[in-house]
Amino acid sequence: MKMMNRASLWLCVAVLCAVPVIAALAADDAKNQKGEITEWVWGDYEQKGASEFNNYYPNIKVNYVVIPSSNYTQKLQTTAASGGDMPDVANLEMTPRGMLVNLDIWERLDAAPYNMNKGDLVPWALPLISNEKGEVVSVQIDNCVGGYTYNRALAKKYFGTDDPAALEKIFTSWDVYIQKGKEIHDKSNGKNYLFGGVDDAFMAIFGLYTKDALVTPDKKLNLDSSYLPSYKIIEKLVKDKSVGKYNEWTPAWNSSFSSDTVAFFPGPSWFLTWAIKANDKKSTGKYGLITPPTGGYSWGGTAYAIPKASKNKLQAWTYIKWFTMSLEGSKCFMKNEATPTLYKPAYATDLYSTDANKDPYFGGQNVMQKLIEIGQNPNTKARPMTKYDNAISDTNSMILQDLGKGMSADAAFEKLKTEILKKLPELSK
Amino acid sequence: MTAKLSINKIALIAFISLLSLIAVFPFYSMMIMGTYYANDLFTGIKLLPGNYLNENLKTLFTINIFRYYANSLIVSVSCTVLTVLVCSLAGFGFAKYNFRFKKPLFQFILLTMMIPAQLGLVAFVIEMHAIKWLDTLLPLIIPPAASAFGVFLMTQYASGSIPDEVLESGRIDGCGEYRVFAQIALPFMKPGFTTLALLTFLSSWNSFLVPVIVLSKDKLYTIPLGIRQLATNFRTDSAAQILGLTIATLPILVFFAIFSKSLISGLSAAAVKG
Amino acid sequence: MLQTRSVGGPKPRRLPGKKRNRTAKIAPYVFISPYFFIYIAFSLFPIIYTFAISLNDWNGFNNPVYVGAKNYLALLKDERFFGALKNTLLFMAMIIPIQIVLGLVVAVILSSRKMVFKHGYRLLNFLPYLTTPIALGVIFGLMFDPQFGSINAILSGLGLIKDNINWMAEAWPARIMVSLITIWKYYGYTSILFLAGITNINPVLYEAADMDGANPFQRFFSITLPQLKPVTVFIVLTTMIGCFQIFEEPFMLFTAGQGAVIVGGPDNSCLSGIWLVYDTAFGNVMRFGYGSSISYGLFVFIAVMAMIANKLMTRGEDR
Repeated sequence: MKMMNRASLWLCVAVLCAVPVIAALAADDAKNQKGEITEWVWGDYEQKGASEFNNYYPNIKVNYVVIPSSNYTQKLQTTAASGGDMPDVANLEMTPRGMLVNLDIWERLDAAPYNMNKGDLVPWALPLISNEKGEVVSVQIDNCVGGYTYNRALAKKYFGTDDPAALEKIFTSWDVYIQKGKEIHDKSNGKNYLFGGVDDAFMAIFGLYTKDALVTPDKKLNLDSSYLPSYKIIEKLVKDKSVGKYNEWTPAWNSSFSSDTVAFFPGPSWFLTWAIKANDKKSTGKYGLITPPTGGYSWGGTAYAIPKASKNKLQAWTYIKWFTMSLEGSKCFMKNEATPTLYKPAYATDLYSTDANKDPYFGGQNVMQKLIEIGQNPNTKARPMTKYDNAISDTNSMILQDLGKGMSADAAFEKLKTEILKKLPELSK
Repeated sequence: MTAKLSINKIALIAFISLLSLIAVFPFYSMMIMGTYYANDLFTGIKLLPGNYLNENLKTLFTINIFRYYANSLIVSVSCTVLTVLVCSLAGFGFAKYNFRFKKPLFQFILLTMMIPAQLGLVAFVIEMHAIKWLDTLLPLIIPPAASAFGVFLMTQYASGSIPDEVLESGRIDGCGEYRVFAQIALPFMKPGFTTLALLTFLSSWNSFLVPVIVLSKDKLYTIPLGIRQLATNFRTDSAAQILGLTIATLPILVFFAIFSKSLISGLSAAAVKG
Repeated sequence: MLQTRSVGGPKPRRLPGKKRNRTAKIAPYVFISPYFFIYIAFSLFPIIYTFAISLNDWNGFNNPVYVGAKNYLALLKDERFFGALKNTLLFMAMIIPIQIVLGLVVAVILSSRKMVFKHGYRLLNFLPYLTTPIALGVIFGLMFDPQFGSINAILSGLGLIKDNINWMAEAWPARIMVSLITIWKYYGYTSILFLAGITNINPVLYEAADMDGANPFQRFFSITLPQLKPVTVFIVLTTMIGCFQIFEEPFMLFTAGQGAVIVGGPDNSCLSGIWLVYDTAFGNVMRFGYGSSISYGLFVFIAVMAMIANKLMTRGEDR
């Protein structure tokens, strides 16, 4: 008996000692994970990141197939339809994502064997990676939270200050934006604008109304709490002539950045580099970034998902996890793309807050840290996605043209619903 | 009278020159665009060459451009040869023989010209998967060879350009039907080939939709597909893409310049008797 | 369908022996068989299979659900489908006359004996056919830009417009823009077809006219034009079919060019049949089955229209 007790005691000790060793061994096993995976990409970041990924996981070989972004969904669709070889990792851009995540073809990541820890991601982003059932089926890499970018010179001229904190104290609601927009118009004799165009203003506003999904579970359009209030604001802006006629992505819009006629632009992370800096290369210290009146909004983003048809799922998950939910992956993304990830533990380090990120282009403001801050604002939210979002947003682009021409918000809203139903007859008003 | 004529002539030359200018401008623009930094393309129309040509060329060489070029050549040349062969055989058959169901068969071919090309895309991919042709160049080479326009053109050409007497004398000399085709009829159909070859080559060379769907291996990519890799996650390098495509267009241009005369005589067969 | 009168007029042949007789009987089938083999295997089969797909509810990812004629019944009530047919007819009305007149004029000028640099001009007018689509998207996007574009600058410079035309956001300007670009791209090709027709007109006819002292206009209207009738029929029919397949030009301008993605163009004014098929099957609705039934609907419409056009144009001719 005594002997037995002693034996079990030793056993316990042995087990207790073994746990960390086994855990360490298991971790090491992960590092030694072997295999080959294929990812379909449309850009070059993943290939850049792969060389660093392989420092940590030298035995996972990643093959890349470049598919033009405009044909990416079509390629997934025809491959799935024909029973062809799906990739092990697929990239889901924000535009078609609502439609794609709701197809029953992706691995659920917040369950075994992946057991993704949702707590490691910024909470607002969860709706952007989940399907209608609330299951996480993808992980977004970029923190594409948006603030508003402003032109410092115009801010000083019309609002008396170019300090971000002071501006945030003035612009406490969209009513203030509307009123200031009118002032800008009057003071400049119509030469300067609050926002460059209807599209820009819409992107800045729409992401703030995130309460309801656009379609209810019983297939009814539910746009009253999102599109309608956004249209109401835009109607006022158009009436006050406080938005310009720069349509997004047109040559005129590109040149509007250096024209110094526009006070505010939207400002998601990627926009700072690929819209503002790219179109206004020569300026320095011209822009600043503030939090919108009711927290940030999300615009754009790329998520990674594992098709159920993949034969290398665990390796694919290791890969995705390293890119999106690791400190090393976050550093790599910051280094190559100057964009933060959604991985919360990275925010506790000085990766984004370091003074090295104070950007002379933004007048010395650390816009990375600012974006993190906007992303952590409790009011920053994302709308739950539905499979119809893309079709609805496509129709909206057309309606925005009408709003820009002076159509009333109510008429535009009715037209929006009518046009959507033509495209999606299974829905109802 | 002569004075009036020459005024007319000047007016005509002025008109055609203006029209040519409108026709050429975008092509010229395209060549110029390859010499600019991509973002600068969208700030306004460029009339003079920029100073970014070397950079764009360098960018172009970061991808496997020679491989894509070779693939495009393999695809376009094989597809052209096969199309010309298949269509001239059929054209000769329709033009020079009488057989049962000839008329309905020919009308059927004409009817197929009206079917939108994208109609069967999904089913086509399903079929390609079933016969294991995905990730090969075969779907780009063999299916397009059954060109309704090609058969129509070659039928018209064969019936207009090959005298029946020549065929008959070949038969009297003891040639079988197939030798009559290969040794006697084919040489007569040469100008028709040039036309069909040029048009087939052009559409095969520029083909984008089918390659994008059936190819998933970089080493099989053709130029229009390979060139699209010149993009980052957030931005497309349009300038380098356009430069690559311009370089890819030049051989076609030279080909056209050399063969434009036989192209016209070839088309005349289809058009005149159409 | 298209005219078939000219299809080989074989003459009765002497048939020297039995063996020859048999080969000669089989030979034509051998000649046409490669074509039909490839066509049936790789085009007809997918097209018929597509019909099977059109009887299903399927997005490519899920398991197809058989729904019978439901997609076709929905098609008859689909406003976007009829809108697309209407747009196609409008495009035809705008494109065909201009493209044909322009192609003809260019062909006549370039066939004139007194004309200089014929080959050069011919090449230049054919260049649009060779210009790369990506480049066209950028170039035309810039040229038709409402504020910066050269088109508006030229129009207002000539005093033709007061306010800038918003080509990208107004229905009719957008249609006109797409038509102009389509004409631009294909008139050179059309003119080569006409040129081919003109080259084949018997010179004796002109000599006779010259003897009668006809002026160039009389020559054109009494000889060239009537002689070109078969070519014209061919061109009208192929251009019509081309108009039904308009897709790349508006697609490139409104989704791949500059500006926001506007599927169908402003107010769906440029939504063509093929674009609708593409948007339904591969766009943001993802309905392969329904997209396939739209394709079949379009095909029927195209075939009927082509048949009517052919009948109208060849009316009074003996067949």
